[in-house]
Amino acid sequence: MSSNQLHVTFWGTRGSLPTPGRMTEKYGGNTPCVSIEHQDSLVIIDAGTGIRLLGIELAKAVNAGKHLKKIHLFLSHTHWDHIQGLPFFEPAFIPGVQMHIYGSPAREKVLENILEGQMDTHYFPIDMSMFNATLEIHEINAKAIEIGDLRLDWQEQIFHPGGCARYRIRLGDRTMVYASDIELDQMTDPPENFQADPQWGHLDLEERARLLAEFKDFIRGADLLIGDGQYSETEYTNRRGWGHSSIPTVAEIAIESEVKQLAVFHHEPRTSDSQIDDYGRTYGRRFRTKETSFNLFWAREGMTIAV
Amino acid sequence: MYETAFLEVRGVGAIQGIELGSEEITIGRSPEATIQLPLKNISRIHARVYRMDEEYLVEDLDSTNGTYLNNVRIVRSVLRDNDQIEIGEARLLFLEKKLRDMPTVNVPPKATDS
Repeated sequence: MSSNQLHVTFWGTRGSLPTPGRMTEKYGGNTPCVSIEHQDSLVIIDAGTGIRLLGIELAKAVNAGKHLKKIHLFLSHTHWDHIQGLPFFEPAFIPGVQMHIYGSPAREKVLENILEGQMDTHYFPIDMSMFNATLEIHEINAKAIEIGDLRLDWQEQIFHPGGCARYRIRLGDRTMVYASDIELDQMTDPPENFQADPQWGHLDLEERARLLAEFKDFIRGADLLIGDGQYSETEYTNRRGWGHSSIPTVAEIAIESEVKQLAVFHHEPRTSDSQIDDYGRTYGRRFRTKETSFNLFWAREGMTIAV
Repeated sequence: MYETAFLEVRGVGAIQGIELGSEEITIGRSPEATIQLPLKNISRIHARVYRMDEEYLVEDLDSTNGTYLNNVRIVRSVLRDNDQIEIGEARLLFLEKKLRDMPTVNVPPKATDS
């Protein structure tokens, strides 16, 4: 691994619900999990079912006698598709492993209680006390966190029911951003009767414009944006208010913000591999331009790219 | 498990089908590479294709100009039917099903030191 590069691996790319089967094996059926590695630093974002596969790889390394890096797991939010892999994360059961879990403090319930809750005996056979790793759960109280040579900062995202955090990781002049689970269309193209919306109706047009500018500033110039593109524009018309973006909206915002490469993420469970291939052709022609050298692709389970 | 998987090599003379087995295949400019590609912008040993558990993967071997999979520069990736690996001017198509009407080459196992 080059010393000035981040290695970003997609372990889970599917939104909302795991979707096993032949129709999804190319882009993957596991729910969100992305790892970012640089030398001895390992950052994981989200603990969807994809984290099980990462855990198997890490456990194999331990069994082969390698020293396991300290694990830093950042949760964007605690909807089940982003935490349901945690009870199956093998390193959590290995004595001596140090594991830090971080999440936003801006939730109604305490992060630790939410994570313990999904391992309550009504939902899962064993509880979190069975984890043998040293576990520290943090509600983030700083704007930025240093992990080795990596600098991570974050912001709260409003346009997802219950809220969601986005994360930015920098290594020297390299930057990647993870900004999934956000309905960007609520800022670029608010519904006509948006004031009637019980969850976001209080946010007027001026505030939506401010939030959009804040989003663009956060992703500006990123080498890689992992962005929410759950719906085609046609699908989106029936999914307003669900907290996810349409593909053209995230692509246009990325281009306007001079993002170099967009990984469209959080794939809709009903969308098959062949449909995503179609999106790749259709939206690729529309948004890949020689003038900007912008690239977009659909995040794919089992793929590692360098940033 | 794939019953058969092939790499269809394009861009270097006649199209050639390489049957994949459990042996690693290296791709590069060097005569030592399993698939030799004497083209510009290709490193001596540029990339490899290998099997892990029940998957085939492609991995860039710190090449100068990179390995692309379906237009995305990758470090490593699992392979799926009809994936296109791009190395310099060469294109290698990964196919899970058996090729027809195409000459194939069985790659012999590597000699091991004893």
